[in-house]
Amino acid sequence: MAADENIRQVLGKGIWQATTLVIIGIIFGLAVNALRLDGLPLFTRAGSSQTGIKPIEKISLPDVFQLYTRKKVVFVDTRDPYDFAQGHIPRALNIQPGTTGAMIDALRSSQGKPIITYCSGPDCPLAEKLAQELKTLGISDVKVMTEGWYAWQNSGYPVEGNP
Amino acid sequence: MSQMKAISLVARLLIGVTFLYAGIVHIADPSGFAQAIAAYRILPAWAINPLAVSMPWVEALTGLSLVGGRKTSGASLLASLMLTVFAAALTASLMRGLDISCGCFTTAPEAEKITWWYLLRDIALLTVSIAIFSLEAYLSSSPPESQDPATKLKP
Repeated sequence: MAADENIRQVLGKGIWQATTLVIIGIIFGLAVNALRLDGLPLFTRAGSSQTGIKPIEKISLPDVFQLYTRKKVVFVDTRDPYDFAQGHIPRALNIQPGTTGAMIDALRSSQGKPIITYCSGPDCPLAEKLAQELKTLGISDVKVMTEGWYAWQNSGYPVEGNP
Repeated sequence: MSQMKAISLVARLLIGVTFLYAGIVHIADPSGFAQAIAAYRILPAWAINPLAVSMPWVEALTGLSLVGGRKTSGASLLASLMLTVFAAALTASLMRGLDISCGCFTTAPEAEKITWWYLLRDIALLTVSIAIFSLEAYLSSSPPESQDPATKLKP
């Protein structure tokens, strides 16, 4: 009987303590999020480009090529530098997710032109991840070319690099 | 008695460090964590960002409490609750065949995809976490002067 009583007591105390931890955690989380530069928007309207989790707009290969021919676009290749050196879309920048810091000014100054990110192919998540990062940093005109580098190469479009 | 305390300490450190580490990883990359949560396709879009900014701190605080041995019953209860929720989310995703990464200890989407092994690991941690809570109840039922806790429990 004493053990039952005790478990009930400890459970009651535990629930109380757990609630306290959750409340403190939420307060810390919200406060830090409000202070940090890469904080997430908490209330997002449907269709808002501000949300950290909204799927990024996709753009098809033919549309990408059209933009390419008009030179009204900035390409960002998200593959590793080795693959990039082997071949990439002409004039593309090489930026991996998590390394936007150094390149952010270059990207910001190219505002007005849409940014198109790409990776090796549809199975590689890096292009979308980078696009999400750029949106979080306030660069809104970002699209992902899902088909990726191999589709571009296989279509016989111009390439740059040393294979 | 001291043996029980030693077991409790080891268990607290195991779960505590695990939660603290996960919390710090998630605090470091809120956007990546939001995407990891979104990939499970369980929560509505409006709930994802608020959860992504607050849950890491709850994880870290829970870990800190367990490591420091403060509010142990609350922290172990909370850890058990979170691990149960994670287990449910993992099970749902595995059964739906979602090709996603766990988001548990890294926020990189290109990380290894979830498998049943992840669920097993979660359940193992859950067992330890429940054990911490039970030990806490057991230890607090035995005052330090009592050498044999069994005598105390007898009616």
